Amino acid sequence: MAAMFTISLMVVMASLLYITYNYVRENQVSAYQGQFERYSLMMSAAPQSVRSTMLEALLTEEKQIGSLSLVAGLFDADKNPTSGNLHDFPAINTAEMTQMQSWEPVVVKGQDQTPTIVGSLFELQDGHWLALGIDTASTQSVNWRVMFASATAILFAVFVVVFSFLIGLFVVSRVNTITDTAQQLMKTGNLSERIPVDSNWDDLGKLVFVLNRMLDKMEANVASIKGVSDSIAHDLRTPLTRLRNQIEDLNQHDDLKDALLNEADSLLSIFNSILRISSIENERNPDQFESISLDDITWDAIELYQPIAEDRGMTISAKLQPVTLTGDRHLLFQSCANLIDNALKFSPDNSSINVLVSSEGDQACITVSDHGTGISPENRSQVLRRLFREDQSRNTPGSGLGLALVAAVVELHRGTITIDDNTPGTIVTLTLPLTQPVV
Amino acid sequence: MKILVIEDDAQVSAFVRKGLQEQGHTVDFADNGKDGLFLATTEAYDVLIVDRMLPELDGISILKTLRASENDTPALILSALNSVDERVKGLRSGGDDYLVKPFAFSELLARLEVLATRHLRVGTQETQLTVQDLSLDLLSRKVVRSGVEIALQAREFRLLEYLLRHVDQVVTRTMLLEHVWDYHFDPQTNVIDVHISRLRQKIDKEFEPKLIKTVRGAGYMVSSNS
Repeated sequence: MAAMFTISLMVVMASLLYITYNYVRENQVSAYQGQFERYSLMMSAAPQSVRSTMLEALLTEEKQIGSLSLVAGLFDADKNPTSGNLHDFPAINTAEMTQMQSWEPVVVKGQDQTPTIVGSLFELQDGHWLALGIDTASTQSVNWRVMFASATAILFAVFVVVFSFLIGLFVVSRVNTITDTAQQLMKTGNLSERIPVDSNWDDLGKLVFVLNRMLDKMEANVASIKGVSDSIAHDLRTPLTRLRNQIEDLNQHDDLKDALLNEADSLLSIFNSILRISSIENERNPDQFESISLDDITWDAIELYQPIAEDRGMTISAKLQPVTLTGDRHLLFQSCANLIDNALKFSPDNSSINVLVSSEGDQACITVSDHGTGISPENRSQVLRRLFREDQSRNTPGSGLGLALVAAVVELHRGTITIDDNTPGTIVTLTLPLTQPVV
Repeated sequence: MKILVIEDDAQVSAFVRKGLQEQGHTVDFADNGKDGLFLATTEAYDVLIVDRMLPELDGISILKTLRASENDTPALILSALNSVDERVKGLRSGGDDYLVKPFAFSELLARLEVLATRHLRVGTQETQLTVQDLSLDLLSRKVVRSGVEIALQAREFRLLEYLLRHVDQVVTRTMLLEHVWDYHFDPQTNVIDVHISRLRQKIDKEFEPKLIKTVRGAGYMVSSNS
């Protein structure tokens, strides 16, 4: 692209120069042509005795005015010079002699060199001749001067364009660096990273500085929010545990005590789940990852829930391919268990749920499907949020944290979770990469 | 049992000590790591309760020092840190069990008893576990009660085995999940209860006395005498 730009620039410059040169030349020639014709008419009209004086006056005047060398000569009918600074009669093509054209190098009186002349030849009324011409060498120098000026102007313009282009490139590349770094930062979610300030461009440097300040604030905010929610959970857990212990201390052994203890336990379990989800979400570099057998873990989870299913006449059918991946055993077990728990919970008695484990390429897949109440399409994205219960399931036991935990675990493993309709029922699919990047 | 409690939080310390004393145990205590280590090395205890975060010297360091000097008194670590990561760290440095604060006292008690007796039972290679008229053969994987052979599924067998290994001790649901299922897991529903009830169907329903007892608010227990 740069090459194309340079070439087209050169072509433009060259053509501009060429046009300028020709234009100047044309102008000069036509200007003189007009002058010479007028002068020849004047000469023709004047009597012979005056002509010589007129010519000498013209030559002197021209010498005084410009740096252009004028050649002029009067010749009699035999073509012998009578006045002027031409030594010989110019040898030119007589067909169009009044039009300015090149003469053979002629000798000019008072000059050492034999200049190249462009001029016209006029036959006067009485058979005498008038030759008028200009020295192309001097016109040449004017040409060169004009060309030089325009070349300089063009070059300057080109320089400005190129310079602006380079500045643009420089700025754009710096801006791109900042954008890429920011995007990378958002992808990893690592709020402690900052954009490096390497720009010499003050305004950009300031931008980076401001962005980094923003990140500082964000990091502080997130930390304080996390701190607040952590301390809320902790602060509430402690009195709740105290309460539970006090209930336990009660000197009675009856259903009321049992019921109270169950309530306390279920509240504590909710808090623990919330905290667990938080801690999973904040885990950036898990080093509890090991090589695990997904089918074994899933089977363990199925087996854990088997008795509950059987009690309700439900069947858990499973098709588990052997799949090995890198991950956290306990968290994945918890996820499978939560999915199966949900499937059972939201399905009617005597129905069946299906569990599949498979792998394809570099991804492992767990699918749990049921024929239960299903999740309405508009709620499907919400259902992964903490404590979300659909209106229709508000009375089913459970805290609404099951899927939130699964979502957090899936995210920790850099996988994806999708929820589809099973008409009726729900299909939840977890897709997990077989390997994890080494940090 | 003679128990040492190393805990800097006065409230938790008092609560634990009171509870343990009510259960008939003798309790010494320290509120910082240095004193705690000193007591642990100069006195003989059946079990130690060590808080992770302590002034002067932290719990992990205390355990490392004790284990390095061949002191293998069973120790239960108390901590506010709940990640599996921290658990593993604690257990690897010499702890025998790990309990997260805040905890239910019954959970603490159950685990302490298990710890104390595990210590004593190290070295005995039993191939048969017997309680009253129920016996479990670990080699042949057979279960017999009153002369009747009972068919158990693999998981049920392991469940019963764990209960029998901790005969006369309270076994909490969390303990069962950790040891019989080998997962750190928060069940959303009463999954464990259903497994226990299954087991009861098989080994208790047709027989007397009922061996598997529910300990309200805590867990389950198999008792050696009715």
